[in-house]
Amino acid sequence: MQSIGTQSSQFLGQRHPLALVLYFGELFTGLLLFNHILITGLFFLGLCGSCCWYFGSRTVWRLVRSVLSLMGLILLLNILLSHSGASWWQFTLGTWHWSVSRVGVLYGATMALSLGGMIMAFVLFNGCVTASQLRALLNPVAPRLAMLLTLAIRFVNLFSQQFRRLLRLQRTRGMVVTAGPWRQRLTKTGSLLRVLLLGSISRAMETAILMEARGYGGRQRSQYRHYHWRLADTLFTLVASGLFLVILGLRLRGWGVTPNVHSLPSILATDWWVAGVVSLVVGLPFIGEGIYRLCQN
Amino acid sequence: MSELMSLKQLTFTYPATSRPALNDVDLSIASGDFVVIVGATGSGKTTLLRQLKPELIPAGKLTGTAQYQGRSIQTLSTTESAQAIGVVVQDPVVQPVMATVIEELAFSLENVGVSATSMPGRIAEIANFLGLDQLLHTPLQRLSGGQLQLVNLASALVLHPAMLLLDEPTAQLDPTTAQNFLNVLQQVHHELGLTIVMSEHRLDRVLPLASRLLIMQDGALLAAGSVATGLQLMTQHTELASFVPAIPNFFVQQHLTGHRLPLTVATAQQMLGQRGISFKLRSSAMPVKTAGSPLLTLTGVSFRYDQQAPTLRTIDVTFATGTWVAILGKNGAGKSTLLRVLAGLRKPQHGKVRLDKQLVWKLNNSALIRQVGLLSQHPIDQFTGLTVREELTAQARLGNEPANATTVTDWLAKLQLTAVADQNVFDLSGGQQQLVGLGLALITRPRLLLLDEPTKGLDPVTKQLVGRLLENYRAAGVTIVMASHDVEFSAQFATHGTFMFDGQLTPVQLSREFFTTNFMATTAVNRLLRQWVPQALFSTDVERKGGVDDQD
Repeated sequence: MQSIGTQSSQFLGQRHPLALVLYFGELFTGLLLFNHILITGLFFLGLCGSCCWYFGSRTVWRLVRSVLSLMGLILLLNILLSHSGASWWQFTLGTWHWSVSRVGVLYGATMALSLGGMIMAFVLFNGCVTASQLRALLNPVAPRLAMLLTLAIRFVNLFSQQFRRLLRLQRTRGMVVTAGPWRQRLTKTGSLLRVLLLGSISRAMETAILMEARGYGGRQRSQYRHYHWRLADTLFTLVASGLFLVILGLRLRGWGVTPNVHSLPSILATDWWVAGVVSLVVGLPFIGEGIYRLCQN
Repeated sequence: MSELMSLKQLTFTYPATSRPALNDVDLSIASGDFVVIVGATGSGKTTLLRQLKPELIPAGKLTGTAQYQGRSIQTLSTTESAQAIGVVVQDPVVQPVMATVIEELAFSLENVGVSATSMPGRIAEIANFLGLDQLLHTPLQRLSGGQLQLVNLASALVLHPAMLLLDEPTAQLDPTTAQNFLNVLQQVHHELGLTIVMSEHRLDRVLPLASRLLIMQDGALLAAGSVATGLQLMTQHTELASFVPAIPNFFVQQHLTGHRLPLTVATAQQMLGQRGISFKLRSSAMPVKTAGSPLLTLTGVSFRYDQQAPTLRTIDVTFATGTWVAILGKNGAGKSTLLRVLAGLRKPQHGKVRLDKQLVWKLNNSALIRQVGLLSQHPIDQFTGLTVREELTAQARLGNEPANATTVTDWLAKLQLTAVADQNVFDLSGGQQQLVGLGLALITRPRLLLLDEPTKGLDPVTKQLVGRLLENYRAAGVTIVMASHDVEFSAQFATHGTFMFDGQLTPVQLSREFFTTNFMATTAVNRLLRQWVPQALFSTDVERKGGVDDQD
């Protein structure tokens, strides 16, 4: 996924990496804390909206399509495996009896939305916090690890590009991994991975030599990019942390949580309170963008 | 000028070989020199270049000394070496490690510990000088090969080196981009006084910039002197004559060798004008190559990558049996994409590609391999990591004729790969990998050959070998579709030519018609003689009408 554009991210794109990491940490924790369909649905839709704002709806729609298929699979597995509670629909064929339970559908939907929310949150995180920001964050603590992390992120990207290219071009050598019996496909995929590894190692060796030729590995490493902590970072972090503490408090009181699978469908007034605070947490970047625009000269 | 680098009795032997790759080389490079190293594949050019920077020295046995400003280069620390000697290699994608242009430039400075306050100024200066200021935050994967090579140059220059080493830096660039890169290099040399040492096969654009020419042969330094002296020497050596660029070579062929040979079209025209020499077309200079029945037909083919502008726009074209069509065009014009569509590796969103009457993407893979041979732009992507012999044997088994050891041995000989037959393909030089890739495409005896930059990294002698080999196949009825930046090679061997531009192909024309009507994308001899003999493409096409011969 691309980094967020400067036009749409005048506020979030300028935040200190630490402020962003803290915010996303709270977001991920929030996703793990609640198992109510209303809350997970809100997280998923809110994060889809944020992604649309920052990356463009066409890009996000392509991503959501693949996420939806994964979510659909989780829903289907739950429907197939969960038979407790009241049945919505039953089917009998000879001795085989199968029912779609209400709990199975709702629990499956909750799990699917939770997973979808996680993926969308990660996509947003990936777009907001670039490798160089992560490096800037880690550099004072562990400079070598910071550099290795940056290189690893870059090389994972190159590795996947190379794999896609090999997938096509190795067909000219008779290596097709999408046709034939499964055993054959597995064998060919193994061979392809071997080629990928050999080629990548060969190129990586050359790259490593050229990195050293540009002074990598010297003792006196410095850092170009320094991010300054600004007032807006303090305000953003304070508001986000405050909201997170409220969420934590509500969770400790048992609000927005389904205690057992049979009470899944019910939505209590307390759940709406949680939903309100979660909306603020997810919508915090939008609020920030709005205030930032209001404050312009 | 003061001596910057010196090599004394330098001999280098790679492990597991007995013959030295460099043999007793003595060399002195002065500050401000622009040195070009020339020689056949395997002559030791790259090995010599790699001896000039400690991190690049390959594993092997080294005797003799290499000194930078009077100090053994082995004693330079990583930081000292990075700041003193910059390097740019052939493949633009191997060097970058960061995500964006600005990060890549900062990487070099961070490595040597330049302070954060000094970095922006140094980056700004070099980015403005090389015209990269508008690309600073562009992800490197979105840059063209030429832009990427400029970034590589910038990331070396940002360290303010005294010397730059370049290993065939324009080998993967189209002629215009290559010329732009060399213009920048010339500017760097003139305005910053940097010492430049560069190995190169394509000498036509490089020699006018050079102040010294080093000629390598079989690991030995045959000559190191002025460009004029070096050129004279090359014309006298049978093995090196083909390295002489087209313009000086034209003067040699026409026996116009005076006290100096011209290097550019403008100088050559001036010299011919001064001597009052003109030319006429030889009567035998216009061979006509006829085309057979249609083999490959494209109708309304359109292709686009995700979220991007169309790469191919409604292409309609037919390639006939026994033709060799050269597709010219800039880097990123869509030539490689077109070849992959023709090879059935990419399915266009619209339109049809038919081999005879079958849709290529509906052919099963085995049938496709037997009918279509592909040499991709990076042959390494088609290798499976075996030895040269094993790679060819495995591919031969997929072909139209039963494979045996003799067939493979013959192919190794044809491609001059016998000496490296038992080496792993990943350990070969770029030129040798190109030949293995060509062998893989040909050994299945396909009807259609798709070649993406087949002459990339090949020296002029090997290029001729490849040209003649392919010409034999074409004459036997194989259809060749070739994407190439190599105008001279295309004009010499292709039967037809076309441009890829704006996602479309210009009408396919007979080669001579195509190249003689082009203004820039034509041979050096055509550019030189178009006012007298516009139909001429090579020196063999013309004979002199009059004038005074220097040798008379």
